[in-house]
Amino acid sequence: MKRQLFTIALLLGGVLAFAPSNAQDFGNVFKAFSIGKKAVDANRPITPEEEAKIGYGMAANLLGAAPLVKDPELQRYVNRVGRWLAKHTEQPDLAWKFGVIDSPDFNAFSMPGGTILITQGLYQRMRDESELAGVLAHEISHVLLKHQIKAIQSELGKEWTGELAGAAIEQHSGANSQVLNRAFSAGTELWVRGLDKHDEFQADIHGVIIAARSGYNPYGLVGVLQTIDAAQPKDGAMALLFATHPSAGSRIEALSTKLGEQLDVYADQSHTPGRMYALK
Amino acid sequence: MPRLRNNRIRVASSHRWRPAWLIVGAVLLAGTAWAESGILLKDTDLRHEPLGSAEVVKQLPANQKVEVTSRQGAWAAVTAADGSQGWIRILNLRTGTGEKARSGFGAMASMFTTGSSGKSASTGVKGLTADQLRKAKPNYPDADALSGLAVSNEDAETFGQDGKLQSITLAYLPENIERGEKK
Repeated sequence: MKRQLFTIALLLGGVLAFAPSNAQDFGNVFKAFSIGKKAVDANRPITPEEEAKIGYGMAANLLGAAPLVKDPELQRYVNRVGRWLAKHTEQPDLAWKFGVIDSPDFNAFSMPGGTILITQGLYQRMRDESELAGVLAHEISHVLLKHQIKAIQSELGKEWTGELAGAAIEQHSGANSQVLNRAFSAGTELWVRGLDKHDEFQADIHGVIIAARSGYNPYGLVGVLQTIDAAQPKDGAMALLFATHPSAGSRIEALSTKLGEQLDVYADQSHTPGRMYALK
Repeated sequence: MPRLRNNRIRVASSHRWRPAWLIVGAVLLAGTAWAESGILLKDTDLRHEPLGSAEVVKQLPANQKVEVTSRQGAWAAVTAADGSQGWIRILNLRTGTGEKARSGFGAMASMFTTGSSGKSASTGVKGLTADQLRKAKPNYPDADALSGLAVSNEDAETFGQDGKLQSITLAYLPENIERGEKK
Protein backbone atom coordinates (compact mmCIF):
# COMPACT_ATOMS: atom_id res chain seq x y z
CA MET A 1 0.00 0.00 0.00
CA LYS A 2 2.78 2.42 0.94
CA ARG A 3 4.58 1.68 -2.26
CA GLN A 4 1.40 2.40 -4.24
CA LEU A 5 0.83 5.66 -2.43
CA PHE A 6 4.40 6.67 -2.98
CA THR A 7 4.06 5.96 -6.67
CA ILE A 8 0.96 8.13 -6.85
CA ALA A 9 2.74 10.83 -4.90
CA LEU A 10 5.68 10.68 -7.22
CA LEU A 11 3.45 10.87 -10.26
CA LEU A 12 1.34 13.76 -9.04
CA GLY A 13 4.26 15.46 -7.36
CA GLY A 14 6.14 15.34 -10.61
CA VAL A 15 3.27 16.95 -12.46
CA LEU A 16 3.04 19.65 -9.81
CA ALA A 17 6.73 20.30 -9.57
CA PHE A 18 6.86 21.23 -13.21
CA ALA A 19 3.51 22.97 -13.36
CA PRO A 20 4.73 26.54 -12.72
CA SER A 21 7.44 26.48 -15.33
CA ASN A 22 5.61 24.84 -18.14
CA ALA A 23 1.99 25.71 -17.52
CA GLN A 24 1.96 27.33 -20.93
CA ASP A 25 2.73 23.91 -22.38
CA PHE A 26 -0.78 22.90 -21.40
CA GLY A 27 -1.90 23.98 -24.84
CA ASN A 28 0.84 22.01 -26.47
CA VAL A 29 -0.44 18.85 -24.88
CA PHE A 30 -3.66 19.39 -26.74
CA LYS A 31 -2.01 20.58 -29.93
CA ALA A 32 0.22 17.52 -29.91
CA PHE A 33 -2.80 15.48 -30.75
CA SER A 34 -2.74 17.10 -34.19
CA ILE A 35 -6.37 16.84 -34.96
CA GLY A 36 -5.87 17.99 -38.53
CA LYS A 37 -7.23 20.92 -40.45
CA LYS A 38 -10.89 20.71 -41.14
CA ALA A 39 -12.98 23.59 -42.33
CA VAL A 40 -14.50 25.38 -39.36
CA ASP A 41 -15.60 28.86 -38.56
CA ALA A 42 -12.75 29.89 -36.28
CA ASN A 43 -14.55 32.69 -34.50
CA ARG A 44 -18.01 31.40 -33.85
CA PRO A 45 -18.96 30.71 -30.23
CA ILE A 46 -19.40 27.16 -29.02
CA THR A 47 -23.09 26.33 -29.19
CA PRO A 48 -24.96 24.78 -26.25
CA GLU A 49 -25.36 21.62 -28.32
CA GLU A 50 -21.61 21.38 -28.82
CA GLU A 51 -20.98 22.00 -25.14
CA ALA A 52 -23.29 19.09 -24.38
CA LYS A 53 -21.43 16.82 -26.79
CA ILE A 54 -18.06 17.76 -25.36
CA GLY A 55 -19.48 17.11 -21.90
CA TYR A 56 -20.80 13.74 -23.03
CA GLY A 57 -17.38 12.63 -24.23
CA MET A 58 -15.67 13.86 -21.08
CA ALA A 59 -18.26 12.04 -18.95
CA ALA A 60 -17.73 8.81 -20.92
CA ASN A 61 -14.01 9.01 -20.20
CA LEU A 62 -14.46 9.69 -16.51
CA LEU A 63 -17.01 6.86 -16.28
CA GLY A 64 -14.40 4.66 -17.95
CA ALA A 65 -12.14 5.30 -14.96
CA ALA A 66 -14.98 4.87 -12.46
CA PRO A 67 -18.48 3.68 -13.49
CA LEU A 68 -21.78 4.76 -12.00
CA VAL A 69 -22.71 3.29 -8.63
CA LYS A 70 -25.41 0.73 -9.39
CA ASP A 71 -27.96 2.14 -7.00
CA PRO A 72 -30.79 3.89 -8.89
CA GLU A 73 -32.28 5.28 -5.67
CA LEU A 74 -29.01 6.98 -4.78
CA GLN A 75 -28.68 8.37 -8.31
CA ARG A 76 -32.27 9.63 -8.26
CA TYR A 77 -31.75 11.31 -4.90
CA VAL A 78 -28.61 13.12 -6.05
CA ASN A 79 -30.36 14.17 -9.27
CA ARG A 80 -33.23 15.63 -7.24
CA VAL A 81 -30.93 17.68 -5.03
CA GLY A 82 -28.98 18.83 -8.08
CA ARG A 83 -32.00 19.73 -10.20
CA TRP A 84 -33.62 21.58 -7.31
CA LEU A 85 -30.46 23.69 -7.04
CA ALA A 86 -30.23 24.20 -10.81
CA LYS A 87 -33.82 25.45 -10.84
CA HIS A 88 -32.56 28.42 -8.84
CA THR A 89 -30.03 29.47 -11.44
CA GLU A 90 -30.10 31.37 -14.71
CA GLN A 91 -30.18 28.07 -16.62
CA PRO A 92 -32.99 26.02 -15.07
CA ASP A 93 -33.75 24.24 -18.33
CA LEU A 94 -30.30 22.96 -19.20
CA ALA A 95 -30.12 19.16 -19.49
CA TRP A 96 -28.72 18.81 -15.97
CA LYS A 97 -27.52 15.31 -15.15
CA PHE A 98 -25.96 14.17 -11.91
CA GLY A 99 -24.33 10.93 -10.91
CA VAL A 100 -22.32 9.18 -8.21
CA ILE A 101 -19.33 7.23 -9.50
CA ASP A 102 -17.92 4.10 -7.95
CA SER A 103 -14.62 5.31 -6.53
CA PRO A 104 -13.30 5.75 -2.98
CA ASP A 105 -11.69 8.97 -4.21
CA PHE A 106 -12.90 12.28 -2.71
CA ASN A 107 -13.76 14.55 -5.62
CA ALA A 108 -16.42 16.07 -7.84
CA PHE A 109 -16.32 16.82 -11.56
CA SER A 110 -18.38 19.00 -13.83
CA MET A 111 -18.61 18.95 -17.58
CA PRO A 112 -19.76 21.49 -20.14
CA GLY A 113 -23.46 21.14 -20.83
CA GLY A 114 -24.53 20.36 -17.27
CA THR A 115 -23.21 16.91 -16.35
CA ILE A 116 -21.89 16.62 -12.81
CA LEU A 117 -20.35 13.53 -11.24
CA ILE A 118 -19.28 13.07 -7.64
CA THR A 119 -17.40 10.15 -6.16
CA GLN A 120 -18.88 7.72 -3.68
CA GLY A 121 -15.93 8.47 -1.41
CA LEU A 122 -17.05 12.09 -1.22
CA TYR A 123 -20.70 11.17 -0.72
CA GLN A 124 -19.80 8.89 2.18
CA ARG A 125 -17.95 11.60 4.03
CA MET A 126 -20.71 14.20 3.84
CA ARG A 127 -22.54 15.01 7.03
CA ASP A 128 -25.94 15.99 5.59
CA GLU A 129 -27.91 17.12 2.53
CA SER A 130 -26.67 20.71 2.85
CA GLU A 131 -23.13 19.50 2.29
CA LEU A 132 -24.24 17.60 -0.81
CA ALA A 133 -26.04 20.74 -2.00
CA GLY A 134 -22.89 22.78 -1.36
CA VAL A 135 -20.74 20.54 -3.54
CA LEU A 136 -23.30 20.26 -6.34
CA ALA A 137 -23.87 24.04 -6.33
CA HIS A 138 -20.11 24.58 -6.64
CA GLU A 139 -20.01 22.26 -9.66
CA ILE A 140 -23.17 23.82 -11.15
CA SER A 141 -21.38 27.16 -10.91
CA HIS A 142 -18.43 25.86 -12.95
CA VAL A 143 -20.92 24.92 -15.68
CA LEU A 144 -22.83 28.22 -15.55
CA LEU A 145 -19.61 30.22 -15.65
CA LYS A 146 -18.28 28.01 -18.46
CA HIS A 147 -14.99 27.48 -16.70
CA GLN A 148 -14.06 24.32 -18.61
CA ILE A 149 -15.07 25.69 -22.00
CA LYS A 150 -13.14 28.89 -21.33
CA ALA A 151 -10.08 26.92 -20.27
CA ILE A 152 -10.15 24.89 -23.46
CA GLN A 153 -10.73 27.99 -25.58
CA SER A 154 -8.02 30.05 -23.96
CA GLU A 155 -5.45 27.30 -24.28
CA LEU A 156 -6.27 26.05 -27.71
CA GLY A 157 -8.17 28.73 -29.53
CA LYS A 158 -11.71 28.54 -30.78
CA GLU A 159 -10.74 26.75 -33.95
CA TRP A 160 -9.64 23.62 -32.17
CA THR A 161 -12.74 23.52 -30.05
CA GLY A 162 -14.83 23.92 -33.15
CA GLU A 163 -13.08 20.92 -34.64
CA LEU A 164 -13.60 19.00 -31.46
CA ALA A 165 -17.31 19.68 -31.54
CA GLY A 166 -17.42 18.83 -35.22
CA ALA A 167 -15.76 15.52 -34.45
CA ALA A 168 -18.32 14.93 -31.71
CA ILE A 169 -21.17 15.36 -34.15
CA GLU A 170 -19.50 13.00 -36.60
CA GLN A 171 -19.03 10.40 -33.93
CA HIS A 172 -22.67 10.58 -33.01
CA SER A 173 -23.62 9.57 -36.51
CA GLY A 174 -21.30 6.60 -36.35
CA ALA A 175 -18.37 8.08 -38.26
CA ASN A 176 -14.73 7.63 -37.33
CA SER A 177 -14.34 8.15 -33.60
CA GLN A 178 -10.59 7.86 -33.33
CA VAL A 179 -10.01 11.59 -33.41
CA LEU A 180 -12.83 12.04 -30.97
CA ASN A 181 -11.42 9.54 -28.51
CA ARG A 182 -8.05 11.23 -28.56
CA ALA A 183 -9.71 14.61 -28.16
CA PHE A 184 -11.75 13.58 -25.15
CA SER A 185 -8.71 11.96 -23.58
CA ALA A 186 -7.06 15.34 -23.92
CA GLY A 187 -10.12 16.89 -22.26
CA THR A 188 -9.43 14.94 -19.10
CA GLU A 189 -6.27 17.01 -18.74
CA LEU A 190 -8.51 19.62 -17.20
CA TRP A 191 -9.19 17.28 -14.28
CA VAL A 192 -5.60 16.20 -13.98
CA ARG A 193 -4.15 19.71 -14.02
CA GLY A 194 -7.05 21.59 -12.51
CA LEU A 195 -8.79 24.82 -13.41
CA ASP A 196 -7.44 28.28 -12.66
CA LYS A 197 -7.59 28.66 -8.86
CA HIS A 198 -9.64 31.83 -9.24
CA ASP A 199 -12.29 29.77 -11.01
CA GLU A 200 -12.46 27.59 -7.91
CA PHE A 201 -12.85 30.56 -5.57
CA GLN A 202 -15.50 32.01 -7.86
CA ALA A 203 -17.43 28.72 -7.98
CA ASP A 204 -17.32 28.58 -4.16
CA ILE A 205 -18.90 32.00 -3.76
CA HIS A 206 -21.38 31.45 -6.58
CA GLY A 207 -22.36 28.04 -5.26
CA VAL A 208 -22.98 29.28 -1.75
CA ILE A 209 -25.51 31.77 -3.12
CA ILE A 210 -27.25 29.09 -5.22
CA ALA A 211 -27.53 26.85 -2.14
CA ALA A 212 -29.00 29.70 -0.09
CA ARG A 213 -31.48 30.59 -2.85
CA SER A 214 -32.62 26.98 -2.84
CA GLY A 215 -33.37 27.08 0.86
CA TYR A 216 -30.30 25.18 2.00
CA ASN A 217 -27.94 26.09 4.80
CA PRO A 218 -25.38 27.96 2.66
CA TYR A 219 -22.50 26.72 4.81
CA GLY A 220 -22.83 23.11 3.66
CA LEU A 221 -19.84 23.67 1.39
CA VAL A 222 -17.84 24.99 4.35
CA GLY A 223 -18.42 21.70 6.15
CA VAL A 224 -17.01 19.80 3.17
CA LEU A 225 -14.02 22.16 2.96
CA GLN A 226 -13.37 21.53 6.64
CA THR A 227 -13.45 17.78 6.01
CA ILE A 228 -10.83 18.32 3.31
CA ASP A 229 -8.85 20.67 5.53
CA ALA A 230 -8.76 18.05 8.29
CA ALA A 231 -7.50 15.32 5.96
CA GLN A 232 -3.91 14.26 6.11
CA PRO A 233 -1.70 15.39 3.21
CA LYS A 234 -1.00 11.78 2.34
CA ASP A 235 -4.65 10.73 2.24
CA GLY A 236 -4.73 8.85 -1.08
CA ALA A 237 -8.42 9.60 -1.60
CA MET A 238 -7.66 13.33 -1.63
CA ALA A 239 -4.47 13.23 -3.72
CA LEU A 240 -6.06 14.34 -6.99
CA LEU A 241 -8.19 16.97 -5.26
CA PHE A 242 -5.15 18.38 -3.42
CA ALA A 243 -3.22 18.51 -6.68
CA THR A 244 -5.91 20.40 -8.60
CA HIS A 245 -7.51 22.80 -6.13
CA PRO A 246 -6.40 25.69 -3.94
CA SER A 247 -6.05 24.56 -0.31
CA ALA A 248 -9.27 24.10 1.64
CA GLY A 249 -7.95 26.53 4.26
CA SER A 250 -7.51 29.28 1.69
CA ARG A 251 -10.99 28.59 0.35
CA ILE A 252 -12.56 28.85 3.82
CA GLU A 253 -10.69 32.10 4.41
CA ALA A 254 -11.85 33.49 1.07
CA LEU A 255 -15.47 32.62 1.86
CA SER A 256 -15.15 34.11 5.32
CA THR A 257 -13.75 37.35 3.93
CA LYS A 258 -16.30 37.59 1.16
CA LEU A 259 -19.43 36.55 3.03
CA GLY A 260 -18.97 38.00 6.50
CA GLU A 261 -22.18 37.29 8.40
CA GLN A 262 -24.65 38.21 5.68
CA LEU A 263 -25.87 34.66 5.04
CA ASP A 264 -26.14 33.57 8.68
CA VAL A 265 -29.86 34.31 8.65
CA TYR A 266 -30.36 31.49 6.12
CA ALA A 267 -28.37 28.91 8.03
CA ASP A 268 -30.55 27.56 10.84
CA GLN A 269 -31.43 23.89 11.09
CA SER A 270 -34.68 24.21 9.13
CA HIS A 271 -32.41 24.65 6.10
CA THR A 272 -31.04 21.11 6.25
CA PRO A 273 -33.56 18.32 5.58
CA GLY A 274 -32.72 15.24 7.62
CA ARG A 275 -33.23 12.83 4.77
CA MET A 276 -29.80 12.18 3.27
CA TYR A 277 -29.97 8.89 1.42
CA ALA A 278 -28.03 6.17 3.26
CA LEU A 279 -25.80 4.07 1.06
CA LYS A 280 -26.57 0.37 0.92
CA MET B 1 -22.77 11.36 13.38
CA PRO B 2 -23.10 7.59 13.95
CA ARG B 3 -24.14 7.21 10.31
CA LEU B 4 -20.94 8.89 9.21
CA ARG B 5 -18.80 6.59 11.31
CA ASN B 6 -20.54 3.52 9.99
CA ASN B 7 -19.98 4.64 6.44
CA ARG B 8 -16.33 5.24 7.08
CA ILE B 9 -15.95 1.76 8.42
CA ARG B 10 -17.60 0.46 5.29
CA VAL B 11 -15.02 2.27 3.17
CA ALA B 12 -12.29 0.39 4.94
CA SER B 13 -14.02 -2.96 4.72
CA SER B 14 -14.47 -2.67 1.00
CA HIS B 15 -10.74 -2.85 0.61
CA ARG B 16 -10.29 -6.27 2.15
CA TRP B 17 -7.86 -5.18 4.76
CA ARG B 18 -6.59 -7.74 7.15
CA PRO B 19 -8.95 -7.95 10.17
CA ALA B 20 -6.49 -6.41 12.64
CA TRP B 21 -5.95 -3.41 10.41
CA LEU B 22 -9.66 -3.14 9.85
CA ILE B 23 -10.30 -2.83 13.56
CA VAL B 24 -7.43 -0.41 14.13
CA GLY B 25 -8.50 1.64 11.14
CA ALA B 26 -12.13 1.71 12.21
CA VAL B 27 -11.22 2.87 15.72
CA LEU B 28 -8.93 5.59 14.38
CA LEU B 29 -11.50 6.81 11.88
CA ALA B 30 -14.30 6.73 14.41
CA GLY B 31 -12.04 8.70 16.73
CA THR B 32 -11.46 11.42 14.18
CA ALA B 33 -15.19 11.68 13.64
CA TRP B 34 -15.72 12.36 17.34
CA ALA B 35 -12.79 14.60 18.08
CA GLU B 36 -12.59 17.11 15.29
CA SER B 37 -10.11 19.77 16.22
CA GLY B 38 -9.79 23.18 14.71
CA ILE B 39 -7.84 26.42 14.75
CA LEU B 40 -9.43 29.86 14.87
CA LEU B 41 -8.76 31.96 11.79
CA LYS B 42 -9.28 35.22 13.68
CA ASP B 43 -10.26 36.63 17.06
CA THR B 44 -13.61 35.04 17.75
CA ASP B 45 -16.49 35.51 20.17
CA LEU B 46 -17.40 32.32 22.01
CA ARG B 47 -21.16 32.56 22.59
CA HIS B 48 -23.61 30.77 24.86
CA GLU B 49 -25.90 29.86 21.99
CA PRO B 50 -25.64 29.55 18.20
CA LEU B 51 -26.91 33.08 17.69
CA GLY B 52 -25.17 36.32 16.82
CA SER B 53 -27.13 38.05 19.59
CA ALA B 54 -26.32 35.45 22.27
CA GLU B 55 -24.20 36.35 25.29
CA VAL B 56 -20.44 36.22 24.75
CA VAL B 57 -18.79 33.69 27.08
CA LYS B 58 -15.34 35.00 26.27
CA GLN B 59 -13.19 36.17 23.41
CA LEU B 60 -10.90 33.59 21.91
CA PRO B 61 -7.74 34.78 20.17
CA ALA B 62 -6.79 33.92 16.58
CA ASN B 63 -4.87 30.65 16.17
CA GLN B 64 -6.34 29.20 19.35
CA LYS B 65 -6.99 25.47 19.11
CA VAL B 66 -10.51 24.21 19.81
CA GLU B 67 -12.32 20.87 19.82
CA VAL B 68 -15.47 20.78 17.71
CA THR B 69 -18.29 18.84 19.34
CA SER B 70 -21.16 19.56 16.93
CA ARG B 71 -22.30 21.74 14.06
CA GLN B 72 -25.48 23.67 13.53
CA GLY B 73 -25.96 25.85 10.48
CA ALA B 74 -23.57 28.79 10.68
CA TRP B 75 -22.26 27.63 14.07
CA ALA B 76 -19.97 25.04 15.60
CA ALA B 77 -20.09 24.01 19.25
CA VAL B 78 -16.55 23.99 20.60
CA THR B 79 -14.48 23.43 23.72
CA ALA B 80 -11.59 25.86 24.04
CA ALA B 81 -8.12 25.04 25.38
CA ASP B 82 -9.05 26.29 28.89
CA GLY B 83 -12.15 24.09 28.93
CA SER B 84 -14.68 26.85 28.28
CA GLN B 85 -17.51 25.82 25.99
CA GLY B 86 -19.81 27.63 23.60
CA TRP B 87 -20.53 28.38 19.97
CA ILE B 88 -18.41 30.04 17.30
CA ARG B 89 -19.11 30.99 13.71
CA ILE B 90 -18.19 28.10 11.45
CA LEU B 91 -16.45 30.41 8.99
CA ASN B 92 -13.92 31.33 11.69
CA LEU B 93 -12.79 27.75 11.90
CA ARG B 94 -10.06 25.85 10.14
CA THR B 95 -9.84 22.16 10.77
CA GLY B 96 -6.44 21.60 9.21
CA THR B 97 -3.01 21.99 10.67
CA GLY B 98 -3.30 25.72 10.97
CA GLU B 99 -0.45 26.33 8.57
CA LYS B 100 -1.64 29.38 6.70
CA ALA B 101 0.05 28.51 3.47
CA ARG B 102 -0.68 24.82 3.22
CA SER B 103 -1.56 24.49 -0.41
CA GLY B 104 -2.17 21.41 -2.46
CA PHE B 105 1.34 21.69 -3.77
CA GLY B 106 2.90 22.08 -0.34
CA ALA B 107 0.85 19.21 0.97
CA MET B 108 2.05 16.95 -1.77
CA ALA B 109 5.63 18.16 -1.52
CA SER B 110 5.64 17.34 2.18
CA MET B 111 5.15 13.71 1.30
CA PHE B 112 8.68 13.66 0.03
CA THR B 113 10.19 15.20 3.11
CA THR B 114 8.22 13.32 5.75
CA GLY B 115 7.85 10.03 3.91
CA SER B 116 5.34 7.78 5.60
CA SER B 117 6.04 9.00 9.12
CA GLY B 118 3.01 11.27 9.30
CA LYS B 119 1.48 11.90 12.68
CA SER B 120 -1.70 9.92 12.10
CA ALA B 121 -3.03 7.20 9.86
CA SER B 122 -4.28 7.97 6.39
CA THR B 123 -7.40 6.23 5.22
CA GLY B 124 -5.30 3.88 3.11
CA VAL B 125 -7.68 4.51 0.23
CA LYS B 126 -6.21 4.72 -3.23
CA GLY B 127 -7.96 7.46 -5.14
CA LEU B 128 -8.28 8.29 -8.82
CA THR B 129 -4.94 8.97 -10.41
CA ALA B 130 -3.91 11.10 -13.34
CA ASP B 131 -2.86 7.93 -15.10
CA GLN B 132 -6.23 6.27 -14.61
CA LEU B 133 -8.03 9.28 -16.00
CA ARG B 134 -5.73 9.59 -18.98
CA LYS B 135 -5.89 5.91 -19.88
CA ALA B 136 -9.59 5.39 -19.25
CA LYS B 137 -11.53 3.65 -22.00
CA PRO B 138 -14.76 5.58 -22.62
CA ASN B 139 -17.79 4.09 -20.93
CA TYR B 140 -20.58 5.14 -23.30
CA PRO B 141 -23.29 2.92 -21.77
CA ASP B 142 -22.95 4.71 -18.42
CA ALA B 143 -22.73 8.11 -20.12
CA ASP B 144 -26.03 7.30 -21.84
CA ALA B 145 -27.52 6.02 -18.59
CA LEU B 146 -27.09 9.47 -17.03
CA SER B 147 -29.93 10.83 -19.16
CA GLY B 148 -32.29 8.17 -17.86
CA LEU B 149 -31.41 9.03 -14.26
CA ALA B 150 -32.00 12.77 -14.68
CA VAL B 151 -35.17 14.23 -13.19
CA SER B 152 -37.56 16.93 -14.39
CA ASN B 153 -38.01 20.38 -12.91
CA GLU B 154 -41.46 19.28 -11.70
CA ASP B 155 -39.95 16.32 -9.88
CA ALA B 156 -37.35 18.60 -8.33
CA GLU B 157 -40.05 21.04 -7.24
CA THR B 158 -41.89 18.29 -5.37
CA PHE B 159 -38.61 17.18 -3.82
CA GLY B 160 -37.88 20.71 -2.60
CA GLN B 161 -41.32 21.02 -1.08
CA ASP B 162 -41.06 17.62 0.62
CA GLY B 163 -37.85 18.80 2.24
CA LYS B 164 -39.55 22.06 3.30
CA LEU B 165 -36.90 23.97 1.41
CA GLN B 166 -37.98 27.56 0.92
CA SER B 167 -36.72 29.37 -2.15
CA ILE B 168 -35.49 32.88 -1.56
CA THR B 169 -34.45 35.67 -3.87
CA LEU B 170 -30.78 36.45 -3.49
CA ALA B 171 -28.42 38.12 -5.95
CA TYR B 172 -24.96 36.75 -6.69
CA LEU B 173 -22.28 38.70 -4.90
CA PRO B 174 -20.39 41.17 -7.06
CA GLU B 175 -17.35 39.56 -8.61
CA ASN B 176 -14.37 41.25 -7.03
CA ILE B 177 -11.91 38.43 -6.87
CA GLU B 178 -8.89 39.59 -8.79
CA ARG B 179 -8.14 37.22 -11.57
CA GLY B 180 -4.58 36.13 -12.07
CA GLU B 181 -2.87 37.00 -15.28
CA LYS B 182 -3.98 34.61 -17.97
CA LYS B 183 -1.37 32.23 -19.14
